[in-house]
Amino acid sequence: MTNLDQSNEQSGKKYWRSLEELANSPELEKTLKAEFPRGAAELEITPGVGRRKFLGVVGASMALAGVNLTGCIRKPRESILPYTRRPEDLVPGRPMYFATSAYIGSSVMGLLATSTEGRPTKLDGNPSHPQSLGSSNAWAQASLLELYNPDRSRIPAKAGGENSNWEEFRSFFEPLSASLKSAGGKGLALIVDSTPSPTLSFLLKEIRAAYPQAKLYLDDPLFAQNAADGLKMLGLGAANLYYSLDKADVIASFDADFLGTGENSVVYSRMFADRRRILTENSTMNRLYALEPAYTITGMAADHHLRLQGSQIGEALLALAGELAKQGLAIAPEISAKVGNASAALSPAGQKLVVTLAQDLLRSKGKSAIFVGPRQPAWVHAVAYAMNSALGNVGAVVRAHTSEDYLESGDLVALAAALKSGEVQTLVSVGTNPVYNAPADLGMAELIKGVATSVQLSYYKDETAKVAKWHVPMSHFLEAWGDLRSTDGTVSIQQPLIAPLFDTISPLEFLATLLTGKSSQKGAYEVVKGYWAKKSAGSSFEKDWNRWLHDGVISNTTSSGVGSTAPTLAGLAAALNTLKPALPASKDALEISFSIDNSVADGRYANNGWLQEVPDTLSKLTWDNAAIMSQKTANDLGIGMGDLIELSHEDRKLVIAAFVSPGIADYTITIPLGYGRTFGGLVATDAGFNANLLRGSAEPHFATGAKFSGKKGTYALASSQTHSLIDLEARPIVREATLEEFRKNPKFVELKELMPRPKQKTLLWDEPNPTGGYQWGMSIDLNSCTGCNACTVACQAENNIPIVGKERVLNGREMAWIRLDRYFTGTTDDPQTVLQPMMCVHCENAPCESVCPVAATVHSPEGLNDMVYNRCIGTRYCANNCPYKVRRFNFFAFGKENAEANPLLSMQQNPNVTVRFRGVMEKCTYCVQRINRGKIDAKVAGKDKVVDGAIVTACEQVCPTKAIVFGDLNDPESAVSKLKSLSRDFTVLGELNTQPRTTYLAKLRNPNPDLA
Amino acid sequence: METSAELMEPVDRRAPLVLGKQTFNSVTEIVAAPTEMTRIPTGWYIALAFSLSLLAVLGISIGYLFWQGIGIWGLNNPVGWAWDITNFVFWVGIGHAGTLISAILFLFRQKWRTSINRFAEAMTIFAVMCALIFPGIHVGRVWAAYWLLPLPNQMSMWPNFKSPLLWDVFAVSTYFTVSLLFWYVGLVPDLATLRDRSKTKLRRMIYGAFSLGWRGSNRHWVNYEKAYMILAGLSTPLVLSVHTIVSFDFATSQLPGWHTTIFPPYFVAGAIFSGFAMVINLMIVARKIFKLEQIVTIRHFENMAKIILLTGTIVGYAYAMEFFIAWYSGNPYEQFAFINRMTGPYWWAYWTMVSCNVLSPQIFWFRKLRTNLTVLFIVSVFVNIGMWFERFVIIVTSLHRDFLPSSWFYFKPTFWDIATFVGSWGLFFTMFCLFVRFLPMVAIAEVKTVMPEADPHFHGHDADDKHGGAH
Repeated sequence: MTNLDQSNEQSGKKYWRSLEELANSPELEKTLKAEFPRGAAELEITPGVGRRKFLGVVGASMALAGVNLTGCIRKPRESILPYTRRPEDLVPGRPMYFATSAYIGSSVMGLLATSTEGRPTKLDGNPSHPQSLGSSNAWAQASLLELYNPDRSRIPAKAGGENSNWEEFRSFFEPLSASLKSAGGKGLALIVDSTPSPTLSFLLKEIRAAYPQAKLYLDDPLFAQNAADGLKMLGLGAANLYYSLDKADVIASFDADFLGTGENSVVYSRMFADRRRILTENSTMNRLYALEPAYTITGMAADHHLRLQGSQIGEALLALAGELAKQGLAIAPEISAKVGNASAALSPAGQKLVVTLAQDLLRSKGKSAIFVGPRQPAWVHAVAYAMNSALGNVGAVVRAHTSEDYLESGDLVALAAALKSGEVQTLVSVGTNPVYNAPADLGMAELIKGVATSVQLSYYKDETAKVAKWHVPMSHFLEAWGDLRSTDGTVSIQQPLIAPLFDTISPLEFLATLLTGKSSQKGAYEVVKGYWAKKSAGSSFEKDWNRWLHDGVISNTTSSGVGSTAPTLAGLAAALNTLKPALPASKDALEISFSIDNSVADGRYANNGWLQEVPDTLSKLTWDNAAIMSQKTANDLGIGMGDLIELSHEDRKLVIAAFVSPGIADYTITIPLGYGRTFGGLVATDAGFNANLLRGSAEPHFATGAKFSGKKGTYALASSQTHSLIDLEARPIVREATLEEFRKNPKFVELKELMPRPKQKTLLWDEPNPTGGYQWGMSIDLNSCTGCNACTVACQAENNIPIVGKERVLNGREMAWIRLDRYFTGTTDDPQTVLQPMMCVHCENAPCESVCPVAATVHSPEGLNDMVYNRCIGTRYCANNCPYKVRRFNFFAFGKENAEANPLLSMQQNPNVTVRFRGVMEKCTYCVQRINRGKIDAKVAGKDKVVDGAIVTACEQVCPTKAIVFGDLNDPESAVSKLKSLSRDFTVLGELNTQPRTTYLAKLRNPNPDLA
Repeated sequence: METSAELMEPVDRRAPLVLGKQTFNSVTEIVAAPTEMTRIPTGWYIALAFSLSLLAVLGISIGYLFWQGIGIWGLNNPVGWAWDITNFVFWVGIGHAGTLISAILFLFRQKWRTSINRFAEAMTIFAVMCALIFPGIHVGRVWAAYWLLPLPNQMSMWPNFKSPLLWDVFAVSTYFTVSLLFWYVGLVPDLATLRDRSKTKLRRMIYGAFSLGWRGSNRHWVNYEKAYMILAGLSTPLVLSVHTIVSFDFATSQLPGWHTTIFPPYFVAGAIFSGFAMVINLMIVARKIFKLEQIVTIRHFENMAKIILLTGTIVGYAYAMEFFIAWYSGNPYEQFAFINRMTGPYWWAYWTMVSCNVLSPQIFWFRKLRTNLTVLFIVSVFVNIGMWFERFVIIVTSLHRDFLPSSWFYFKPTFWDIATFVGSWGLFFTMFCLFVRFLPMVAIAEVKTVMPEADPHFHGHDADDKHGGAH
């Protein structure tokens, strides 16, 4: 704790804060005051000191707490420092909201950050940003925790991790820039990630101009390079596709996880779900076909799912092209000539699917989309575009967006070649981790070690920092200025919420320094603002700028993209000519499919406890990845769940735990990336297995011809839910029907009741008599829920829920209030999945309330099942009697442990939510703190009632598909009341007469009748 | 067992309750002997040392529990109770035999109870002490456990009287208090006997203080008999109520496998079942060591074996009935819960329970076996194992898989679960070691009342009742 600001002592570094002082312009001063948390401004004296003082205030209470806790006093004594002079506009306890944005995964997300007394405490989607529409995802939620990660790098370090200081770094770096400039940038290799920032791109262009011989490389496993190459192959230039899925009746996903780990998944999820909201029997619904090697979030949402080896997806697409041509669609001869016998590689079921899919697509010309995933080779993307074009979808559903920010860059293979040839003398990596990301055969660690001068800017001291000659700590996006352009062209300003907690710099500042050779001249604020001042022709720039900051979006930047452009197919034809058929996966030639992990992505979120602990949607694994395979594969190879198996591909080997799951293509083993980090923080290190060790640069996504070479013992995998196939007829926990069945009988859910509904409500005692003016309730639409985990993580962020670690997950002690239940129905090989978020359902006749001996869980007049932490003595009787098993017990002092492991955590925590101590029960409260805030606000505003929608729970707010709706049941016009009056509404375990306030809307599927 | 004519009770023509040519004096001598030994046998020290080391295990386990939290046990999210409440119900159940023997059999004038009632009551009290530990320590915030009591406070905050756990607090504490009183009242005449026999001043003072000035006058006896009768009357409903209320913890919940109306009688029968088994185990050992064969006879054991056979069969009937009702209810959750007991991950626990509780007592249909002390001892151990597993099966297998399959999880005990349970035996044995050393383990005064000499119609042989002790 005392080390929090160690670096401040050493450096007189002045970064962006000093800009305004240097400029000393009154406008800037004013702007700053308007944008920044007042608390921080109040404490501001000089740059370093400001942070130190700020931390001091927060740290003082922590230090006191620490002293007392070690002295074993149960309740820590804390000091409160009151404002002697309260900053204007600041109401203590009243959070402020600021618009910002971030590049999350491979999507630009407009965000609205909650700032509590100067600390960012929650991130949510910015409703004015077209790419988030108020929602976000698990990664965005958890990226807040990164800000307060105690592992983050704090000071520059020299080779071997030896701590250095800014002084020393500057004396090395500033002259470097000059010497490079005189050499025209010869020998300089710059590695960047795919952050689509106009200012960053502008800076890189400037750098390219200043160092004409420098080379630019891209290292970003999440970036859809193949998709870009595919469009380039068609002569569309540097473009990116944007799908208006709300206009698509039929969507065919070829290995595209557009609802999960893919680009723009938040907005795609919203558009997808909007087309599945069934309010009446006459509502229509889109239909999703998914062809993929292993269940992704998209695959689980699909109406038809085909398990297919990853390297055969392209052939399936060719088969579809052939079928479309057969059914009369004009397919370019370059493609149809190559169709050949592509469908022969498919199973009979696959062939049938292709035929019906073709019919469906032809029926929905101009209203369908063929979506190809980033792992597929460029030619597949090109073929898909050509087919979309032939189907008339281009322009209507699919639009290409070209970006003026585009820069030509090499990939990691090119970088490795350059490093090997010795032409690189100076390697500068900006926010990337090539040593971990690179496929093993490139030997990146050794290559970088061999470079004379290597500088890495990164957030953690990671694998690359270990081999680089210099490591420089990077700022969090909430600490730095920037701007981002999303696929549809919308530009948003990345506005910092807090001064850097440590002496860190942002990529923009770093590049500016590289460009000018002077650290203190160009700060990111001025760079970004200067860039936009130049771009903005109008005289009202200051006014516009302030509005952009307020809205989070630069107005009029959203573009509709390029309409239908006729693609040139020569390049594609050439690519198809050299195409070799994929090696069919078999027992002796397995296919390894490397996937982006739902939780930790490519490893960039590996050091994030919230994401490590959130169970994977399919496997429900926490804290680990595994080699995921089908039952058939496991049986044929003699592998059992949890066996440590050795897989080999070419000369590379990997020992990894096996996990058997339904919905995986046979002889295809899926290994999520991002685990097995060897150096990247306490949380990341040693969680799971490093798939990159098996990966080769020739086949980075699907390694064919891999072998299983024996078992090496067993491994404990912490799965939060077991695999039992449940007879859902006997247990009508989740209910579903096809759209057709629903139309025939809109009240189908009632047929599945174990006890007829009128009988369910027979009460031995008096009816519950809710007296409150509001009666809160929730409706969850299983038809919209994709199982993306955003709600679970948002709840964790909002409600100060601790993480417990792998050992305790193995002991069944997860604390997450929202459990995302995953059920399989159908056959073990090709099951269908249903996902059901399950949290406290706030029973009217709550079984937990009657059994608590000390009345620690009681009913509020507004229908909430309140948990009184202070009164709870922890008999756990309530949890035993809860039929939904949604109560969570603090078996240990998890909150305290979390705070001790991360002294910065208390800065993230929501001050309106009690941090629970050891031995008490906790559970979903319907975000009671938000309810009370909403009621107070309404009262202060002089309203009789809270407006419907003014109070949103954290899970409802984050949900990309808007599956969760919360509101007042007393108001028949409220959204939740209307949803609950739908015929699909059902109660889980209704026959117990618990009368829960949370009810569910049954899932509907829209299968193609021809495939039934 | 001897059944020849001369060994029959002269009056009711049954096997006599006291064997050998006993006089009132010899009975006193036999019972008082262990408390008056000048040279204490090494065996007793060894037993006490062993018990105390187990007690230390309990102390350490509880200390560590308080320091670390409930997480040191194997509990998890669906399984909120496991060994803690299993042990609680187990120990409370053990306690039942004592009160049954002392109160109900007293009211039914079952004379054979006199030789074993003191012992059984002591067992009750010690078992309830062990039982009381568990609800006390199983709460997450043990420093606030007293909130379970209806203590007046400035917030007017009362416990939740709807909660069966609160009923438990009342039921078990009442039971403990009444059992203790009952035991103590019964001890008074015997303590006076020991006081009168004391050879040292310390003994005289301590036994004197606890015998409350008992002089054995007629007035004393009249008051004593009345008090004893009243306490017996008070204890009798408690025998039934305590375990009924303990069973309410489960029966009033909605969990499949718990939510069963059969629980109260089933639990009471099970408690008596295990209690008698425990009395047999302890008595066989104590009788041998302290040479009480003449007072605690085979007839006593045979009677207890019959009760075990009866209650074991009732318990077996209850098991069968649970299955029948689960099927008959048509409730899929209920049906699953019971199928899961038999065939799920805890099948071994279920079948241990059935073989120990239902099958093993059936050998008591044979007189030869129920009068064989080795067989009795072994079967009684089985019964206790079985009854512990019965509670484990009810609690853990019902909790680990209930309504929503997504929450299912397997429970595994940790070292500390086991240590706490083993440690509770330490408390039990320690108390017993002290009991057999310092208190008369047979009710001297009461045994004398069932001897032929005490019968007004007895003229059979030359009774020497001049040395009638305190009589």
